[in-house]
Amino acid sequence: MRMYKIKALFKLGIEDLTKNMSVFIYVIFPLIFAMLYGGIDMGMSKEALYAFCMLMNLAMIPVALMGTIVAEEKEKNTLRTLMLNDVKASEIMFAKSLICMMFVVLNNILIFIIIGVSMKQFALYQLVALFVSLAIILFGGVVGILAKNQMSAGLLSMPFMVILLAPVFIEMFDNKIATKVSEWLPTDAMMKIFDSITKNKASFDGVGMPVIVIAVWMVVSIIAFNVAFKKVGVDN
Amino acid sequence: MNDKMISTKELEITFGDKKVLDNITFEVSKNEIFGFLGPSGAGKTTTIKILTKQLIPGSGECFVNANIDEIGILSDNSGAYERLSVYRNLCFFAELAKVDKQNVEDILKKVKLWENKDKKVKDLSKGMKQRLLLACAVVNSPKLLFLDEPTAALDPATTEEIHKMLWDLRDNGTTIFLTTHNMEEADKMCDRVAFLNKGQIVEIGNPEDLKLKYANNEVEILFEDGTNIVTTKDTNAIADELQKNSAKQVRSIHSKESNLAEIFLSLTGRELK
Repeated sequence: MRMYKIKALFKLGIEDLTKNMSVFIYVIFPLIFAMLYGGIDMGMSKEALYAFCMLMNLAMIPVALMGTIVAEEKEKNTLRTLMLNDVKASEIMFAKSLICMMFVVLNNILIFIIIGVSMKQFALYQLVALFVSLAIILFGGVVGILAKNQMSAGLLSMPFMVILLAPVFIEMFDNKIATKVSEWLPTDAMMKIFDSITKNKASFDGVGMPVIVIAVWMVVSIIAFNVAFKKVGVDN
Repeated sequence: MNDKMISTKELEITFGDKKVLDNITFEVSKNEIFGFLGPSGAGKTTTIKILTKQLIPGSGECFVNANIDEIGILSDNSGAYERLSVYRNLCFFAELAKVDKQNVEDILKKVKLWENKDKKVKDLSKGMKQRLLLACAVVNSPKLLFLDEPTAALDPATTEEIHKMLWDLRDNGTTIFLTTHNMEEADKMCDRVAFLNKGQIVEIGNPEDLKLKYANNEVEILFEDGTNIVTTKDTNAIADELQKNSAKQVRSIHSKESNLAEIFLSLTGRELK
């Protein structure tokens, strides 16, 4: 991978994204949500609200945003133009992932400020959230490769978003099967690690299983992306 | 082989049951504008895709004497970032090619887009957008430029500007591979042309040589009173006709050569549309 190409792609990607409000809404929405619910007493602790907003951030940016910006490159023929200008698919995906990761981190910090939560292990929270977004960002790439245009990318990313947000809703119902299934979600694993960090004061005791879940998702996303790229991406 | 920029031998490709390219063999020399002519669906774009490694041929050999970073491509599938300005788009492609930004200004002036450099791509006319895409394709000063129907659906003034730019590029050392179904454009622009029909090359050569080769051996004598006579190129036949009409004044005598479209039609029985 050539860094000067990634730098050029990254700069242009940020500029283009900030001028595309229909897509930039994915970045803004978790912030609006935090602003709205941060000021309402819903009987939820600030830590829990913060975790929920982070989940929403993780469901929206690495999957929906990533999928939509990749799909748009295809829709507008710029992806083909780039690849014919000696830019590798890996460089394009890396630059797009960097853009999404940057917004994930930025939003997590802004949500933290908006909600005003007091967490001593803030850096650890960010680190865990970053690993989870790494584990799911390639699913955003898969959505982008499979989708024909921005609109279908939005539709295709919906099931992913619902699945990633599931731990919050499953908690509300006492369903053992759903709870068991949810344990295999990276977002549920993230919540468990958060819980452990908060309770055990920055200790990683008892987070073995959640870490394995996140690692499995990371491996599966790499495999899924490679299969999708070889089957559909090259031709597109 | 060094003076050859492109060389193919017996290229073949099949999509499903349909043989799209069949036994395609040709060479393109350095600093040449080579026209690949044929009607829609003849296999022109497929050939470009094979030459630019977007497709792998079923069989045959293909040699391109340029690295991917020394090639420029303008196809009907080329795109630009519509929310960004003309200048920003070209700067981006310059950055990808590690080209100085000073070149961006020069190229935009050449394609006559400098005055519109701050305009967003989505606000450009079709002709302006095509000129921008051409600018993006040549920002790396390519050794080899592939143009797939570069002037299709453009107005005559824009077409003329693009032609001038292509001649400039050729004079500065770029080899151009041009596909078109516009015979007038090919006649005017190309040093050599190949006629492609149903995936096969049916003729190849210099446009003037082809016109002479397929000339219909006739001469037209036009008189001042507006009448005309068509006869063979035989000198005695021309003299006889002039003798018979000695009372009239001759305005012009010229050979009736076929144009490229007529040659294509006589070779394939198809029109170039």
